Amino acid sequence: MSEEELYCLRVRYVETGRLRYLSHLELLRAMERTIRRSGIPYAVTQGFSPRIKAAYCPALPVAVASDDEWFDLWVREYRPAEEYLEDLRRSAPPDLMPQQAAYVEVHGPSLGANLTIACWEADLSVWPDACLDAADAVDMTFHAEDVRRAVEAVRAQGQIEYLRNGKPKKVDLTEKLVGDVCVDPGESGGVHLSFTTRSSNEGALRPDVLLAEVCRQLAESLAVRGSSAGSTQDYVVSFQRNLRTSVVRTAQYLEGKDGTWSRPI
Amino acid sequence: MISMHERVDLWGRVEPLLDLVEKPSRYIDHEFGAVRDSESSFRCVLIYPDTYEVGLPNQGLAILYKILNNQPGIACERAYTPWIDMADLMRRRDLPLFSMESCFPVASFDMVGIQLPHELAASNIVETLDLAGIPLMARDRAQDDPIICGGGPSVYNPEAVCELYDCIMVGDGEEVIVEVACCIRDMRAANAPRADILAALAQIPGVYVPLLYRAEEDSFGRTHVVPVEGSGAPEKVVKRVVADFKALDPVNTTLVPYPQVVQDRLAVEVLRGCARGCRFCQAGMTYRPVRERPADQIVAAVMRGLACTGYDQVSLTSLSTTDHSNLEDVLRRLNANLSGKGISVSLPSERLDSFGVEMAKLVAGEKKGGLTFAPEAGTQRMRDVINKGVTEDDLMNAVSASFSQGWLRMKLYFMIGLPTETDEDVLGIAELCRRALELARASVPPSKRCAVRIGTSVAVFIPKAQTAFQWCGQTPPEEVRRRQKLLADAVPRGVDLRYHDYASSFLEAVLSRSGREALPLILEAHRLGARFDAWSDQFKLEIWQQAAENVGFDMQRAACEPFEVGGPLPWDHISAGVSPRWLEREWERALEGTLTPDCTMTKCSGCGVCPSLHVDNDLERSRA
Repeated sequence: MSEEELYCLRVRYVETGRLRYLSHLELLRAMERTIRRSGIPYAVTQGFSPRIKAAYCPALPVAVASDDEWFDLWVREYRPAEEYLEDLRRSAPPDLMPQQAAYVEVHGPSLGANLTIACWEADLSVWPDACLDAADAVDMTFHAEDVRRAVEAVRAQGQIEYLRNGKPKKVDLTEKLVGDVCVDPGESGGVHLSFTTRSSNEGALRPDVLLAEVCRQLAESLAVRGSSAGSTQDYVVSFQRNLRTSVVRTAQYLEGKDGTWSRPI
Repeated sequence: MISMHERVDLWGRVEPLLDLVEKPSRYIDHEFGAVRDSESSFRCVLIYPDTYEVGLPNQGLAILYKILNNQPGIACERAYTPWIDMADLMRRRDLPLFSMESCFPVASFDMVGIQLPHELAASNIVETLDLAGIPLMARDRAQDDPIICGGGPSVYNPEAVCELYDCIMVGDGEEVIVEVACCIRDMRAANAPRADILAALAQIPGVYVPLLYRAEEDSFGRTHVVPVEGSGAPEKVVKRVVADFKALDPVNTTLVPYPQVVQDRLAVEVLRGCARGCRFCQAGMTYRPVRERPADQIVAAVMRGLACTGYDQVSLTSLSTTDHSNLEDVLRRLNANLSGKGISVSLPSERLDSFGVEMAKLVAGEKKGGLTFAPEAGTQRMRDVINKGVTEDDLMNAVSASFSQGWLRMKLYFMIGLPTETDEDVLGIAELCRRALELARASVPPSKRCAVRIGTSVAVFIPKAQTAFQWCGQTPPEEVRRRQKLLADAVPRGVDLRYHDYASSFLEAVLSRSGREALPLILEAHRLGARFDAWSDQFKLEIWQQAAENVGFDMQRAACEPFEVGGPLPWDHISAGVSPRWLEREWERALEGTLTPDCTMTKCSGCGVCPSLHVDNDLERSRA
């Protein structure tokens, strides 16, 4: 059987609003259904269970939003990318809206393996009192300076040890955290952070892991400073439950062998 | 603290919980195809009393959601029972049960539908009302509380839970739900007292208003009910039937979920009803008559449904899809239409003969997983008692057809504890499996013999209301265990034997056969922590045993004591249209081992459904 000619369409989309709570698998399923609804002549994989031939950028953690997600879709017919983009936009849920599409080389660098640089923005604030458990009522006052110190403490550790699905994991910060972590007073009383991470074959620094570690350090320092009745441990648990962490992936870059960064399109 | 009756968007209080629970996507709404109607002042919410993943694919609710939302001036939303982690957090934070679309408190709706999907949902129905902050008992509800409506497969003996409901709709819901909703809407708009609304609902055919019936006890302490004098409630509530099934839109699953749900595919109901007449089967009695959709309608519905949902799989659903008189034509056309798109067709079960295998082959394509057949009993005598209507030859033909055509795995479903069962019948299951395994190995090339797998799943018979076996008791636990061991010792090596958990079948029998006297047991079990009893990892019989002790309820008697034929039954006031005399005759024929033929293949067997409900079987062509 001769292989039919395929074209690789690269699409940027957002993941916003409530749909940031989708898991990676849920996102893949939602996107595949969007593609099928769009009526685009997609290619399917070979084998007993043929699937849409598509590839996605590195997974976004649950509860993290993004302005810059990507997938490659192999199509059987060449039509202007804008037409396909319009087809996709008509079929997509508003919170997973495709923004941009262009053809790329069929055998070019894959998104999964090469889109290694990710930029993140995070806002730390406190959930309104009405939402909270009375048992978690603790002093939640903190400032950008406190967060900055917590970030420095975490960086000084050089690595983060954490549990994922019950398994101990370790991530090295010197290579995985790229450049400075900017900490500034945020809007409406919170604290704003921005940072950039790099993933490799050995793994990635998840923004939720970094922020959880920063918040643990922050809570511990606040507990020491304050004179709350309960133990530091209890304070840290309550602090984390009361804290609202909003994270957005703002951009992703392909990193070349020479260290230069480029956009996927 | 908010008022439960106030229509406020609770999302701001739901969101902080999402980081703390597993599968937050269960609670976020915003699915593709969800209906958002914020204008209509009359608001209904339909609830499946289990998690989102189990409830969302429910076709009954999908149909009613669409029908109600198509009514001018009526908005219909959905809700599900939150998983344990979420429910516990909601209680700690005083957050009441909320709807998906508007995130309003469930208690703020005018009409709340809670499905009765199966008997084991009893504790979850209580959990759902409790989380919503709605008084559990219909008699304790006030004017502003919503009208709690029920419906679904398990309404043919609703007595154990009926006092939690203001009204229960019996039979096909497509028409009656609109009548009920309009009645509630108009009377609430006119500020009619709650009692008047209930009295008016009782006048709608197919609607059971439990408060208008009182219980009478027999000498065993079991109850049956009669209408309260002067209430105007009918002595018998007869199920509703949609006579023109073809006129209903076959595409209902247009809401596409994000989480992986239990049936994550497009479902097109190709026919309704089954007249095979298996004597243990409640659905076979309660969904009569048989009504088929035309092949053209099915094919067009599949293509339209796939285009608007983006699913990669479609299931042709019904109680017995392979009985559709034009199935082969439908499958061939679908295969032609869907070729090269990575979309597959599935059938819910296989008919036990070589035609069943042919149809399975048509949908399997290159991928041959396993085939599932249900001989139900191990000997011909036992199969004749239950009117299964299949022979050992049918099974062996299916085995040789499937294994010689490339399948390597087969699963066989059986029941033990059936009426009149002897040890010989139990051992017959092992013998049948042995012969099936031998034939399967002989039907494949020698190199593949080691890969042949036959699995068998053995359930315990649960006597159900409105069937020929409705008078029977369940086989007592100790005897079930003896028969299970007898079978386990006899099953040949190479056959993987699995039992359905007996403890949950036992509770299901208790709840299926009881009258109103079982409600205190259910409420106590819920108080002690019972919920999600249909989840094997959550179900704990000990809780129910403790509850039974606390309230003085004899579960073994409720499950196992037979009813006297001709005596009162807890479900006498609910009718599926099948004549009681016919059921008695079916019971007599069962004891004789006489088969009753399928009226869609031969002549009418006189069950009474067609004349009493003024309907007929509606087939595309003769099945004979």
